[in-house]
Amino acid sequence: MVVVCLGVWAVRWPFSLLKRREEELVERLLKQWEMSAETVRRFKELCSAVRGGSHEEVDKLCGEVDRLETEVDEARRRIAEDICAGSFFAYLRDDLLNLVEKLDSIADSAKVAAKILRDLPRESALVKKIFNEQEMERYAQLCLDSVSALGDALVELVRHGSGAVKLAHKVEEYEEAADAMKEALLRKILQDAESHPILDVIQLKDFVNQADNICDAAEDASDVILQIVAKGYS
Amino acid sequence: MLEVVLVSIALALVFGWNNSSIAVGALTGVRLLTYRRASLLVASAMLLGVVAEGWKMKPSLLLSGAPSGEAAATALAVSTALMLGANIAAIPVSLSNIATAAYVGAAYSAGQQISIDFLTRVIVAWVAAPLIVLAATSLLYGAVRRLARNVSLATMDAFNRLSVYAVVFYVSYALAANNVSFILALAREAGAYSGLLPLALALACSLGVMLVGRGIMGVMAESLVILSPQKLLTGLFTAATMLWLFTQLSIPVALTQNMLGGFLGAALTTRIALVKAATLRKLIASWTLTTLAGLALAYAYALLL
Repeated sequence: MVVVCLGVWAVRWPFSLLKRREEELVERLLKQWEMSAETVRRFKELCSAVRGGSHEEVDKLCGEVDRLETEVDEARRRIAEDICAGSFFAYLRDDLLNLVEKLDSIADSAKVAAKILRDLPRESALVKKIFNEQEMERYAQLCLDSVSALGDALVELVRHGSGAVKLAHKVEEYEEAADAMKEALLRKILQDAESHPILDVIQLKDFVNQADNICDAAEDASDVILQIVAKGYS
Repeated sequence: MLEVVLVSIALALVFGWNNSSIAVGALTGVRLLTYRRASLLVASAMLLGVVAEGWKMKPSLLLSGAPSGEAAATALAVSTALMLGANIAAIPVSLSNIATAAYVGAAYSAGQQISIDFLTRVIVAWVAAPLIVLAATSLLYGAVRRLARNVSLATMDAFNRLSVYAVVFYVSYALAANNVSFILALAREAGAYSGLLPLALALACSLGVMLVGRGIMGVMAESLVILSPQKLLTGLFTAATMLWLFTQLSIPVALTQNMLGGFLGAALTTRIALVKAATLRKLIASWTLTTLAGLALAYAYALLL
C-alpha cells in the first residue's frame, strides 16, 4: 500500500510541478473574467441609477466601471505577456490571447457604454421614456447574463471540460435574446424621433449599440472556448 | 571504402533533412523548445537508436545467396540521388522503399538470387503496417480520450507538453533504429567497416534534421488531415511503435507511411474527419513511383557498371 502511494506520488509530484505555471495562468484568466463580469454588474447598476438615482451615484458608478476596466486591461496585458514568454499552452497560445482580448473587450464596451450613459441628458423626455421601459432593464440584465454564462463555460473548460460546449451555446442564446431586445429598443427610440432633440436620439442609439457590444464580445469569447474544445482540450 | 562512407553519410544527411520537421514541426513550431535544443534531443535519440538497435537491420536477407557489396553500394548511390532530388522538389519519399527497391534492382541486375520469401514479407509489411497503425491509433486515441475526459485544461496542457518531448524522442529513436541503421547495414555490406560509422551516420542525420526544411509531417498533419495535438501525438506514437516492431524483424519500413496510417486513424475517430483525398493520392503515387524509379535506376546503374 505504501509502495503504491509512493508510486502515485512519484508520478504526480513532477507533473504538478510542471503544470504549476499553467494553473497560475488559468487562475489569472478566471480572475480577469471575474473583473470583466464585475464591470458589467456595475454597468447594470448604472442603468438602474440613471432611472432613479442621483447624479452623484451615476458619476460614482461610472468611475467604478472605468477603474475596473483599467484593471481588466492591465490583467490582459500581463496574461498576454506571460503567454508569449512561456512554453506552456503551446497549442493554445493564439486561442488564449484571443480569449483575454475578448474578455477585455467586454469591460471596454461596458466602459464606453457607461460614459455615454453618464453624458445623457437625464431630464430628456426620451431618455426618461426609454429608461423607464421594462426592455431596458431586461437588456442590461441580458448583458450581465451573457457574461455570467461565459464565466460558467470558462470554469467548466478549465476545471473539467465536459460541459463547456453546452454552456458556450448558452452564451449564444443570451446574445441572441439581447439582439432581439436591442432591436425593440431601437424601434422605440426611433418611433417618434422627430419630436425629440436629435442629439438625444443619437446618444441613446449609440448607448444601445455599445451595450450590445458587451454581449457580442461575450459570444466571441464563447466561440474561442468552442475552438479550444475542438482542439481536443475537453 | 571512403566513397561508400561518404555516400552513406550524404544519404543520412539527406534523410535527416527529409525528416527535419519531426523536430521543426512538433517542437519548435509551437515554441516548446528552441531549435538548438530540439535538434539536440533528436540527435541524441537518433544516436541511441543506431547504437542500441542498429545491428538488427540486415539488407542481405533480401538475397538468397551471399551479401552483395556492389548491390549495397549501388543502392546507397541511387537512394542518395533520388532522396536529394525529391527533397529539392519537395516530393514526399520513403528511404526504406527506395533503398530496398534499389538494392533488389542492383542485385537482380548483377545476377544475384532474390529471396522471394523475405521480399514478400517486406512488401506485405509496407502495405499492412499503415493499416495496422490506422486501427491501433483509433483504439489508442479512444483510450486517451477516455483518460482525458475529466482532466483540467492545465493538466491536459502539461500532459501534451510532456508527450511531445517523449514522442519526438521515441520517433527519432525508432527512425534511427530502422532507417538510419538500414543505411549503416548497406554501408557495411559495401565494405565500410569503420567503428565510428554509426556515430557519423547519426550525426549526419541529425545535421540533416537541423537544416531547415518543411517535411512530410507538415504535409500530413496540416495538408492531409486537420488534427488536434493529442491525435497528432497518438498517431506518431503508434507509427514509431510499428517502426520499432519491424526493426526487431529486420524489415525496413517507412515512418512516413505509418504516420499516414496513424494520422488517418486519428482523424477517423471523429464524426467529421477532414481528410484531403487529393493529397492522399499524391502521397501514394509519389511513394509508388519513387520506389519503382529506385528499382529501375539501380538495375540500369548495375548493368552499366
